[in-house]
Amino acid sequence: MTLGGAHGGHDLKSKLEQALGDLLSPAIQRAVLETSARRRGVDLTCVPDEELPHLLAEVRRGVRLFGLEARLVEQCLHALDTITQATEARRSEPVGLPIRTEQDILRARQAVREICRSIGFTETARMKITTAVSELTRNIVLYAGSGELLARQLSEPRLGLEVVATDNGPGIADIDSIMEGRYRSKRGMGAGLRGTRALVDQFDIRTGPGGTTVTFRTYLR
Amino acid sequence: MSKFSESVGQPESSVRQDTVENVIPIVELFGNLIVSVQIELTDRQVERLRVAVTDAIERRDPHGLIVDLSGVEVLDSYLTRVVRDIALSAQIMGVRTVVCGIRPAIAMTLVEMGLEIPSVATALNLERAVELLDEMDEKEEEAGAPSEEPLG
Repeated sequence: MTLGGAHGGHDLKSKLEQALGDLLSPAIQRAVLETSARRRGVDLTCVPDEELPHLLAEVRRGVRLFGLEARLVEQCLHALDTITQATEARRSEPVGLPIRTEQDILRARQAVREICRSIGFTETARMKITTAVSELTRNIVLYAGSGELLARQLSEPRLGLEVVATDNGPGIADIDSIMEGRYRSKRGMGAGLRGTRALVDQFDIRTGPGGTTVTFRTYLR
Repeated sequence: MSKFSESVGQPESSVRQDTVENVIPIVELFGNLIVSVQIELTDRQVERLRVAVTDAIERRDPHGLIVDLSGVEVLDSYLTRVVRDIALSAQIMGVRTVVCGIRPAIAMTLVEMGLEIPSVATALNLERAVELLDEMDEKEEEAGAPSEEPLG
């Protein structure tokens, strides 16, 4: 059985059993899995994404405790790591939204909040990211008329989120003075863009007569 | 609409387009106006709120104004500025204003963005906001004259 692709609840359980299969006898295997699930208070057939890392940590402990042959223990731990990665790959469903109206600003915030939740960001991190998205999408609606917002999960180099806000508007004339804080628009674009940069880990803005693209990344701590 | 509470944000026409989503109550309690933002607002609704609050102040002559942000999902630069404008307008009209209910995640976000609400009194929650307004009144009585808040 391969580890790639989406997995439902039963799929996860069978993956775990497969990972432990070479190392532990069926009885010990079942004991390890059941104890891990009980300690985390989850049902193996229905493990929420944010619980999976904790559950796997419990399983790893059981493997180290009951595994007798070092080589097989390593092999088994490696197999468990692959389960984590397969799940992360599955969670990474990029979101793309057209941005034209005020309502789209709300939609973008909601969509990004959801993706942040599934990645496992804390409430404060979610708030920062959602606020940044609010600023960028409002700039699109106010100054460019229409554009697009893309959000996707990052797995390399670390787990995180990348957001790209693009428009084909007229571009921002004096971007340097805006980013340096020498300029304040009446509706506050300056504060919004500078604020956005302060809220995220990596920030990049490219603007010209053909439009503006803002990319930011924030990583899970 | 009851005598003591009204709602803002409904479209002018009698047909309500967004139903619940459009309603922010402005409630009167112990002579204070309380605006409690409990839903996500579009910019247009935020703008309507600004107008509705200043209108309500003129019409109802309240003692103080409390803007409760505990239900706000995102406090970005636009909403922050409108909240500040509402508070400053109210203060210019002679109505003390307290902003309350800013959650920790929102507070940290505001600080990192460098957004501040200067010269606007803030309180942890609604209860503290009511207390703070009372304290302001007592101080005013002690001073014997209306003390003006610094503006700007």
